[in-house]
Amino acid sequence: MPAMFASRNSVTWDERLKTGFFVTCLVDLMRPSVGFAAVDLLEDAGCDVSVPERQTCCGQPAFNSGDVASTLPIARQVIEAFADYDYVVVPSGSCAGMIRTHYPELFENDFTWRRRALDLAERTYELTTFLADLAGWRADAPGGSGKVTYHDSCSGLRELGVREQPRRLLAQLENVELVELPDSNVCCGFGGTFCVKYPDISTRMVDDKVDCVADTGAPVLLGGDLGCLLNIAGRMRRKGVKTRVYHVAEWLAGHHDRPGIGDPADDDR
Amino acid sequence: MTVAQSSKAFKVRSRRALLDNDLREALGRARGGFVEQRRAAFEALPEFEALRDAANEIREHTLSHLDYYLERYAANVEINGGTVHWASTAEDMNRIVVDICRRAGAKLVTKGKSMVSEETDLHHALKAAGIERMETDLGEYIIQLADEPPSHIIAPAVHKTRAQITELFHANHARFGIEGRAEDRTAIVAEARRVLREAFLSADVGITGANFLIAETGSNIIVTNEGNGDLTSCLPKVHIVTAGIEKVIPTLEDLSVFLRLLGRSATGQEMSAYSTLYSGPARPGDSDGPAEYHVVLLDNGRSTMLGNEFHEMLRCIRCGACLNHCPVYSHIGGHAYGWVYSGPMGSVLTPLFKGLEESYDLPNACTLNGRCQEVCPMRIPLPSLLRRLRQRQVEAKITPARQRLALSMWSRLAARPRVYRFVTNLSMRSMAWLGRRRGALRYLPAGRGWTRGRDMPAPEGATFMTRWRRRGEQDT
Amino acid sequence: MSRERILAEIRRSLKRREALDENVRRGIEARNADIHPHVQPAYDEDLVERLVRKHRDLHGSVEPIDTALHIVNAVIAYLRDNDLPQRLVAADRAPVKDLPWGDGVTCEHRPARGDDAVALSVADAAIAETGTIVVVSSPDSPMTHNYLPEHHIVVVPVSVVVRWQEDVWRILRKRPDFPPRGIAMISGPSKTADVEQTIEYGAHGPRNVHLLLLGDGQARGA
Repeated sequence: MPAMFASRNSVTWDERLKTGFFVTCLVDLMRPSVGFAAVDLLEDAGCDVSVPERQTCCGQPAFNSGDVASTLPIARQVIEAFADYDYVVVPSGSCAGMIRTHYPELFENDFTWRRRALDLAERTYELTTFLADLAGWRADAPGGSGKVTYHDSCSGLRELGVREQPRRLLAQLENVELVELPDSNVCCGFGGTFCVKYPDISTRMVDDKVDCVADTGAPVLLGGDLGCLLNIAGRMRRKGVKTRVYHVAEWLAGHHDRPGIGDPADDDR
Repeated sequence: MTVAQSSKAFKVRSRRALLDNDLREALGRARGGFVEQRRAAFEALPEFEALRDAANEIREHTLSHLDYYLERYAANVEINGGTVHWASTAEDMNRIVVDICRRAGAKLVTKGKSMVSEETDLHHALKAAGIERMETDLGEYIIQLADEPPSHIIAPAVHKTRAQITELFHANHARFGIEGRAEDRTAIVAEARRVLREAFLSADVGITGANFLIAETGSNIIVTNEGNGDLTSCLPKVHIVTAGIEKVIPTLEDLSVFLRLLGRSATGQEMSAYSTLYSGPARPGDSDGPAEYHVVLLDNGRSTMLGNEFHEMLRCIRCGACLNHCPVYSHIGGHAYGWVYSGPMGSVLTPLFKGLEESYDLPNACTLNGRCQEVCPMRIPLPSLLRRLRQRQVEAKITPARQRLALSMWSRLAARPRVYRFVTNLSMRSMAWLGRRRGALRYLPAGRGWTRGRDMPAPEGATFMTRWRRRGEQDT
Repeated sequence: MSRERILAEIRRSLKRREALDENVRRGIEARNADIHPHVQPAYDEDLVERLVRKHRDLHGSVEPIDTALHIVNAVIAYLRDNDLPQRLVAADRAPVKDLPWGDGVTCEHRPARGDDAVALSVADAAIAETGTIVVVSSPDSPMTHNYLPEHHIVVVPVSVVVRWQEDVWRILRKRPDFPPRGIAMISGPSKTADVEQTIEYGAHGPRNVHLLLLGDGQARGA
């Protein structure tokens, strides 16, 4: 897909496209740096970024638990909050997938809301897809350096086809070498409430993932979904594995010197 | 249903499975093989997606005229000289089969692998009638000796190691005059061949499943690698085919589409060694073949499924690809699921056959990662079906009250952005303070499920939304 | 009756009261009368070469012979090479019907028994697509030959080699006995992977399927 609008590296825009940023609950609560990194990247790419006040969560925890009644008000809230943007960008494949794939399903029998849901779905993009396919983001700083490996989160991969986009973006960072993760398309065992309800199975799954990361020899793991990254980093910390874990946005935005997910805030690691 | 077989004990059984090193070894080997072989087979087939499209179109067409095709199929079976029996329930099917066996004076029946007979628990019905049954698929035979249900729909004994099989044979084959232990694979297979050959030749009735029923010709097709299904079909004087009503397809050309998908999806094979169409009993002049050919068509809830939100499941061709690619299945194996169908397809079917409450865990013990749907040749939206089952559980208030309460509190909070902002900011700042040294929390009072196996990375402090607002205030 | 109950429930689920109306029924009949293959894997390999390659990939063996007169020698050599007794069961049809076996070999035309080591069949078709041999049951061609003996020798006249599976259906539909009682599609020897997910040949049926490719001795070589 060609770049639909130019980044600041090339052209300045009189009228920049209005981009609404949906920060997602996990980034909002657990790792705001991912949100700021994403906003930096979007602004780099020439977007006029806003963060609507009325956003909270996309409703996925309730939806995936089969609680449609609780999901509906949250979905309506998101649809309304992002009604006026040209694009809506989400730093998570699973939340973007929720909006793009499942919101329209939710309102199957409600013509008005279904139309609004479809309208939002069409404008909503997962962050790396937006940067790579639409915004034509170019790295303007070398960013981090060294070997990294990448975990493909399942929802992004299978609901949205996110695979090449983060790799294309990382390829622009001159000093970064991407080592492919064996079984990178196999679930890490997060699965939202799954990991809390079936901790024993989930732990086994994440152990496989941690082993695969170790096999790559890369000291850094990147990914596009904070849920999976919290799960993997949490298991690594428990096992004393020293791999540093970041959201891909942080590396692209040059925030790679900060402590990784689950690392101590000061420099005593 | 015994306790050992119920799906309720899922958590207990899955935990036990995780601790079973033999099982882990067996599953690890199976996973690698099946996944790699399937991938290679489809990489060599550019027509894969077109075949999937065609197969789905055929199945949907047939299902939406299922009454027509079943009547058509049944009429053609009768023309071929066979008899069709209709079974509404599992009990009906078992009664019909036992009656046919009794009329034939059967003492010994040989059985090909048939998931439908597992579903109806035909084994116990035969046993109760005093009829001896020999499973003839090697995997099925092994689990018959072990008195276990299949742990995989394609490879029923996938969970058994070689050493376990050696001991099972040793413990059971003395009655055939076999004394020593068959240690290596070749010896094990040779011993099974010797023992089962006797059964093939002396059985009074052969019972097989059917991969498909072809309406055009009134045939059933049975696909195997061992040839056991064929020996079961050809040798005894009575052949009984048991099949679910969704197995019917219109024509032989339609069959070819499915055959190109089935073996590749199951084991990565273009064609299994034996794909045989059977159309009725021996004909005048034939020097072999059964004198009687019966088909038992089983409904057992399928006709109801046809009209509800789970109808896509009727497209399933029982290839096992979803099991082979399921990260949960590949860690816990089939027995944890508690019934004959396991993995993703079993997690949909079991609650529908056995009840939502009985099988509470099955639809929930899934990360919705979607790999099953990706590999399903019939593109069955398994994650969506599992989510629909969760929805039914919530509606029926089967979902634990604590979980429903937690979710509804979260949802209510999420629907009130201002309160949400205040509460989350405060909690994150406290958590960040608690985890500031280590960068992660070892224990969360409200998240023991999480911290049982991993730390909770500490949040950074104030939430993004709080910081963003602050930044906005500074800018202006 | 179960039959009526099942059909009624199906119609209820399909939101239909009765059996199909005439127009729909005609539509279905038209669909099924319009016989054509759906999707077939494209390939441009020579049919016989592909058949041989695929059959060998499936762990079978192939021997080209020029004429039916060579069947006897080929079979005797096979028995000798595999240390097999000089006896076999064979189909009662051309070209294996009245062969001059000579004194040393016993060939019987009857169904196979448990102790028969070798069966000799004639393929009705062979599918180059997958290396699959098709043997159709008839009074002259018992089904047991395909599955009981440890060695299955199949005469495959090159004239019966077809490109795709659907070509077999087309040919069989023209036969007066259609549908025949049994259509055996055989793709290599009997095998199992039920022990350690590792393939072992000769599970219950033949350990080897040996093709005598008839009428093609020179052209393609062995």
